[in-house]
Amino acid sequence: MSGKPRGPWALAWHGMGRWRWLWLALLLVWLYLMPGEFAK
Amino acid sequence: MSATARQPTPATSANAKAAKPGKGGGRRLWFDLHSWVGLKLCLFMGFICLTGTLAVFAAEIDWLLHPQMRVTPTDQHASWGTLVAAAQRAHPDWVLEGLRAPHASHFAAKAQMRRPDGRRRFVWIDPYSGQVTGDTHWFSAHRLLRNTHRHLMIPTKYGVPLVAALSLPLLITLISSLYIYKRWWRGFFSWPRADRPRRLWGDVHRLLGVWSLWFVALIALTGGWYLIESLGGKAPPQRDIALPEPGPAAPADAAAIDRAVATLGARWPALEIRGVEVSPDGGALVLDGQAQAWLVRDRANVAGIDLRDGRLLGRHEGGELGVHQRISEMADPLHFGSFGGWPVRLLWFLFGAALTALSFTGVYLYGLRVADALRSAQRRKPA
Repeated sequence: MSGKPRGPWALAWHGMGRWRWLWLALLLVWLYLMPGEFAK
Repeated sequence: MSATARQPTPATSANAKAAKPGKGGGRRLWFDLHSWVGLKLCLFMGFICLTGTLAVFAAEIDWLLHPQMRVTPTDQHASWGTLVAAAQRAHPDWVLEGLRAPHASHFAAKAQMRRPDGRRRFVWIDPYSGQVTGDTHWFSAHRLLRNTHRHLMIPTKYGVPLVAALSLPLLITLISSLYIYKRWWRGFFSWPRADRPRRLWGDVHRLLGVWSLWFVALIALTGGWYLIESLGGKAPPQRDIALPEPGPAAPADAAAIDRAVATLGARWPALEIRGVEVSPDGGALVLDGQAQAWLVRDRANVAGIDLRDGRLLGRHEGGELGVHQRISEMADPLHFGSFGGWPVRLLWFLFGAALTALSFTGVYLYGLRVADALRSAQRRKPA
């Protein structure tokens, strides 16, 4: 948090803590599974 | 979903006072809960709200993408028999799984067909001329948005409860907001004050919030129902209509379908047919649609007819359902806004957009509050 000032979005992103990685992982799972849906 | 006092940043102590919404300790607890839930879940919640909002107009998105779905209305209407025959004639080696009525006046009717390799295609038929306009892939904007919104394309056993579990934090943010926002009922006409960003976005968040209260409650409750269903609380299915023993595969006779539709129309005049399914041997027809019962899916009103002799094989009405089944039937029309034509769906779209905006304005407010707190702490620091 020290050093250059951060904007509100960056601060919010930081505030999400470990949860943001969980949601990003879920997003990757979604992207990974999408081609399978196309193939049906 | 507004800003929080408890953030995992060095600004915690400095920001605690700034973010304190009132003197009441109880309200402070509600505020912390609201903020924590809103901040930690905003990405997931915002994504699900966004896909759900777009899904309201998924059929229209597909209509724009696929010229096969577009037709020009005329005074003449092709019969159900003509539509079925057109689909079967266009693709004699494909199996017709079902045919749905057009979504709106400029839409083609949709036949779901299975190719010999097992893949599904949608075949589009002009409901006025009875001509096939083309076919499209089973995967569409509708499928993409629906499957993403419903279960993130994860196997439904895990995906549906995962997404539906969001109804709980949604309910928490709803209830907590009523405690946090003092005299919220006065906020319906409080126009946002634009003197500084934090006030502006706080006012926007509150204004969107009060107008969306009913919608948040509706989505949280129907989502909660989906969670219950996914965990085993599903209503028992409606009794099946017993069809005759199937014979060898054969296309259905268009004239027999039209006779069956006319027979059913005489015996059940309130039924507005929305879809038909023909048995693979072309010997029986199952029809569904809307009748007297309000807020039920098409499949709640269903009838079966033997196409060989015109005999009614069975009939179930939405009004005959038990309480458990009726709740189950009501969930989809209420969640999708599909019960009252495009004006209701437009309303659902707008409030869905408001719900999505609540997720992101709440998080933005959090960032603004932390930035303010950091600036205050900086100013207090001895030179």
